[in-house]
Amino acid sequence: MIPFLFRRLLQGLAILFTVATVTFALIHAAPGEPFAAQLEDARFTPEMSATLRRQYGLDAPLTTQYARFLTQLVRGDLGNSLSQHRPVREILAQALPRTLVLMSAALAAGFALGVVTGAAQAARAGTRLDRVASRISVALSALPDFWLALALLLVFALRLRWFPVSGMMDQTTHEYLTPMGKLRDVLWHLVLPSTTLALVIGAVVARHQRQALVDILPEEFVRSARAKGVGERSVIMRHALRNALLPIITLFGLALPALVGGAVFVEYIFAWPGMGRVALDALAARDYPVVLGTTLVGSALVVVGSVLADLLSAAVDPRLRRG
Amino acid sequence: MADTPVVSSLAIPPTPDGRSPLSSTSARRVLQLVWQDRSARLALAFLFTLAVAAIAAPWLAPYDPLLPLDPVALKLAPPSGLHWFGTDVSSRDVFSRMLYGARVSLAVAALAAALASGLGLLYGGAAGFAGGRVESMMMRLVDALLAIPRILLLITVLALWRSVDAGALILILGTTGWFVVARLARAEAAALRDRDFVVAARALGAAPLRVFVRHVLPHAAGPVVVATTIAIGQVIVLEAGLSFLGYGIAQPTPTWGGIIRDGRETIDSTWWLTLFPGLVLVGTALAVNTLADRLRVALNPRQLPAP
Repeated sequence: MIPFLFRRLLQGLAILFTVATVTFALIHAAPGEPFAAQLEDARFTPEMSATLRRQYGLDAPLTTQYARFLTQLVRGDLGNSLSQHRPVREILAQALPRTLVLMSAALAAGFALGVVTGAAQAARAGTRLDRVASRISVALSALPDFWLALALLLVFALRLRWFPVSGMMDQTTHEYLTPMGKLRDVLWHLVLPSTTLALVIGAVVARHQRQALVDILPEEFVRSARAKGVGERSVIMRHALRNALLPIITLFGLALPALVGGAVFVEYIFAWPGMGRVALDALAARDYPVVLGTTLVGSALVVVGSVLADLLSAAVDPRLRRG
Repeated sequence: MADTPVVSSLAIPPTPDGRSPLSSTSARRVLQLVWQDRSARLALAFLFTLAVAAIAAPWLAPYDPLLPLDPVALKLAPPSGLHWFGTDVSSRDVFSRMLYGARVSLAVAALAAALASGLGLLYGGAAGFAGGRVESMMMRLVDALLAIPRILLLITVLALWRSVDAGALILILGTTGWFVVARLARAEAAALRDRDFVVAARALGAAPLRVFVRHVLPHAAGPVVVATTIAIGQVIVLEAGLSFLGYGIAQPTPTWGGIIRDGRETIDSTWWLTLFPGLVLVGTALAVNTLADRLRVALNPRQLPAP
């Protein structure tokens, strides 16, 4: 287990190093330059532009810039924001937990929804109910997340007024709430954004869960459990579901890139002040260091997620520990 | 060089009817197999109608998609007999805009997916064919690129562009979408590298490029066609998403995502600006996915029933 863990972590680090290199190459290969917006301003004299370039070290040779970029990165220094005049690390440290809250809520709800639906379908494979549920999950997984978010916003926030329209907390009352009230306020704001992502994840998980169970139910150990007189409910919950767990754990690692992408749209629509929102604001302001920082942290999330998924798989399936 | 018939007869995979999966007869069989499925037929019919509507947009559209009709009387008019899908804030006819938007969606998606598949085939095929350290280096890069969430990668690239036209968007979406196909192509090429017919072709003096193009690529065609179809669906949704965020093809070119963006601020009262483009978007994505599913079954020679 320990060598496996070590190897997997090393691989993750190698991937992150490559991501950093690729993004660095991307900036310098692209047609614009990081200060284009400022540099094209007519009030900027060539001398001022040169000063700006020198201040941000853009006049050094590429190899020097790359070396500096990497050493700063290792120290966790992502540079300074061009539009907000504070360190990128500070901005991201503020936004990341909010996105993590959103993503964990969506993951937990989505996987719970998907596993339960998939198991219920597999238990009734081939029936009308199973077919209808399959149709729904296929349709749901084809739904663009930004459109689903808009639909939920329109119906549940604007028309029915069950949930707040946007933000992470109530602008006026939040300050005056008790700690429990504050928590409830945030959870209340969390419902619609996380449900959007959970529905999309749940649809995919349900399809895989159903298939994994349908593949396992004809196995002999399931038949012998039934022959022993184990109830059908227990056969599915205790015998089949455990063995159908592995593809679902793999799916957890694969779901993360889509989840990070979905979070960008959902945060935009519900004004959830997380990483996606930061990335879009930075894009609008052409704030390159911040854009870069969000991309690096987003990729790190994906890498960490896939390492976690591998560790979980290894914990569940002893055969993988040797592999 | 040795006469081709000998070599290419070795290259033919053991399909039940003894023909290469790329020959026209076999392509017809694949189509037949796809056509047998009711939902695949529906999907094809939907996509065909959409494509025709997109091509014939100048003749079908009742109004000019860019022309404000009446800034006072027709600003945000709900759907009616004259304006089936209503009008937008600039009093432009939404139905006409959606017809023109279909052109952007379909053309960008098809070309970007084709570009991505081409790049992926070349890169993955070359890696799988090279083998050894070169292969593992090349694929490590793909692993890293796949770890970057695509929308963040796109945002990083877009931040450097001023405004994007269709050509640039296709280029950006194509060059950020080839990683999965590269993995597929590498796996196929690596599996074929030491197969008898490839070794035979090499022994007969065929140049590496020829072996690759004539003997390896055709085998990768099946999975790549499926992956390309899936990619088309993804790019349609992605392009709409970027337009929705305001970073797709620049206004005033009509796009589905752009129409949804136009209706975002007033969504409470102007549901038609969100509903109709959204429905077409979902329908298209669903149709493309259904088609990809069915193609996967039809293109797998082992799943072909014996004739």
